[in-house]
Amino acid sequence: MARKYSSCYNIHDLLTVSVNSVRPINDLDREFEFFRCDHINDCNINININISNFKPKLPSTYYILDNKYCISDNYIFYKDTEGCASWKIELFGLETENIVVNFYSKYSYTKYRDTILNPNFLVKDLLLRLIEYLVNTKKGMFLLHSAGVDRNSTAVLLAGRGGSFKTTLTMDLVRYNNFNLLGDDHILCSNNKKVFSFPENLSIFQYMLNNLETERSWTLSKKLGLLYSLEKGESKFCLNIPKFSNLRFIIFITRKKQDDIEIRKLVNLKYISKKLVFNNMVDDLISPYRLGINTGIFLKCLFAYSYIFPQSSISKMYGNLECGLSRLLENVDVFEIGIPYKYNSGISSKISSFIEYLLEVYT
Amino acid sequence: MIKLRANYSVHDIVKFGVISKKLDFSSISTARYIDLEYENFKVSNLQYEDLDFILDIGRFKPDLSGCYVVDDRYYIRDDYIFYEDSYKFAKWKVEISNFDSNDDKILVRLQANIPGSMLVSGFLVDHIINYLLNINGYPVIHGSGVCRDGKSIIFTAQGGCGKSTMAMYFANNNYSILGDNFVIVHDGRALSFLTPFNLFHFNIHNIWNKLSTETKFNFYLKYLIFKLSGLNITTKINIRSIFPVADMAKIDKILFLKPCNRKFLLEQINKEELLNCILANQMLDSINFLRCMLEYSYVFPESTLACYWAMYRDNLEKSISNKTAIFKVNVPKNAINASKYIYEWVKKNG
Repeated sequence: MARKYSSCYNIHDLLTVSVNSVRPINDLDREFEFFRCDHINDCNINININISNFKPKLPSTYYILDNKYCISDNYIFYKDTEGCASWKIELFGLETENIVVNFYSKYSYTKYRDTILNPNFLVKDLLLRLIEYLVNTKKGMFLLHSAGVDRNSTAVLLAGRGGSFKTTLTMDLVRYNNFNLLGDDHILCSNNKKVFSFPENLSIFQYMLNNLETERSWTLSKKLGLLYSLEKGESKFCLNIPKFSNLRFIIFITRKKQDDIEIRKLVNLKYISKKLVFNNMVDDLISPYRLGINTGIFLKCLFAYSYIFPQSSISKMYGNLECGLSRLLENVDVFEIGIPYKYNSGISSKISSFIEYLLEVYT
Repeated sequence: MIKLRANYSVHDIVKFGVISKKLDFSSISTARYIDLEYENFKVSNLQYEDLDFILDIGRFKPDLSGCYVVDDRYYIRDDYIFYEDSYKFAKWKVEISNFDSNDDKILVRLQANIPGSMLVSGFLVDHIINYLLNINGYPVIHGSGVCRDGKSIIFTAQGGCGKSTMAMYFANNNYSILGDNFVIVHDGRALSFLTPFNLFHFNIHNIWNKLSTETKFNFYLKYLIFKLSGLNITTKINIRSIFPVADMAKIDKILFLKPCNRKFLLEQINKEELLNCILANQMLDSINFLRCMLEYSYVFPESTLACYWAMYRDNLEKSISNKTAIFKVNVPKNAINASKYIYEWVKKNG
């Protein structure tokens, strides 16, 4: 009998997740460290993921799309190969509040060495998308692709596409300006302007905070140092992370081929909510690109399922998001900051002082 | 110095030219594959001024000043996108400009390696044609279309749903073809979009006796390569050479195909449901280009490109008349039998 690994996560009492696996899930535990709990009530698991090889339990009637997606009411099964990964996935209860997932994946490690430390990379990504989908359709809340910091229960979100130095800015705000961390890649927003923290990979973030200047200054010795400290459990987080905060500012960070930073205020609500929606959509689309996979697994399921069941709740996800955001954004001040292509520490100090100024003047 | 030039026109709505300033292997190959794909749109008498977009093939150096850099890969400024992408062995570099302002022609510069040149239509040119057709109020549906006596039937479906099989079956029974992969709809009519048939081992027997020996040989050679190496090079064949084709026809029926493991089923659905299906279908179909569109939309959320999908849905709504009969069909694995059923059903119900 193979050894079993399992973990439970409780996301701010909003969602509960349980993962059972036949292989170690240390990387998954690291990712959702903040939400780990000892026990959750069996009958109330929102997302139940089983990672092991499985035989699909196809229902008696199902649709077949593109020769690979098998779709039925509340059910998807499909398997695929792309980049360095091959996987199969089976989802039960897709439109209910209790989703059961069977997942199995294999990587060719020679191609993308990243995956050696992250054997559950695809599960991690899938779990994030499932959380995004569930909070959106069942709780009326939104998982935004954005970093966030807090001071005195006032939240500042830093939204931006990949490579816009969100993480570095968050790091600098936390270590030099006494802000509290809410999350460095995602954030949970509720209808009543509450921002719930969603920190991922806390021990790595903590290590970066202590040892790295920017998110790009990884060297071999730093990487080895990280491995060492993870092994010894040294970099246990000692950050102060509030459970929630109140949304007050959103700042878009964009990288631009120019020499100085430029700041402008955005006032058009529709423009802002669309921008946030597109930001989330691109993120869902490209998330596993590091494995050479062009399209997010869950997004493909989403399109395929809404093709067969066009009136389902799953096909309304982005519509919900845009609607919800335009309500959420009232009385929130939004800015866009263009930063130079070549990053330097001066930029972060300028942005920090701008945020300090905002907090002083507007609150 | 322009050394190569070919012009194409899609129903006089979208007119485009392919030019190349330097003739190297990859640009010749790219031009050849584009010509193969859009053979049926080729025209000779087009002025440079009339063109809606120009595809410039060959090496180029982009000017990236003032660009936003998103995801470290896409360079975007107002009316301008530059990116590099790859798929397996294929690599390409694309620069698209002038697509958001209505008055000027779209300029596309493209540099692809030889494997990349085979994919040009799928990852780029199709999408730009679709984009231009859409902003002119002519949305494109991913599906096949056939017609007889000025009445057309559109089969909209995802890949592998049997839309080509349907079209072939109807064409073998005195119908004319409007399109195998795309059909344009506008003002209650279906307009043809004649791209070549892709021959596969599972559909070749439908048109077996219409193929020349050379094509058959060619097909089996490539099939052998595929079986041995897994490298899938499709054999393409011009529809015109095997079936009668038509230019346009009134839309009589739209059948929305869903492959299913159970028995054949045909039921009427409302227009709203169809529009949602087509939208999901179209997004799934253009997923390769979607990223580029979404990245631009993120930077400029109020541009034409950002409103593309809303506009697409509106155009569809306007183009499909409320009286059109719309059905969804559960197609069992054997699409030929389903084609037979549908054919008999159409015959009975007019």
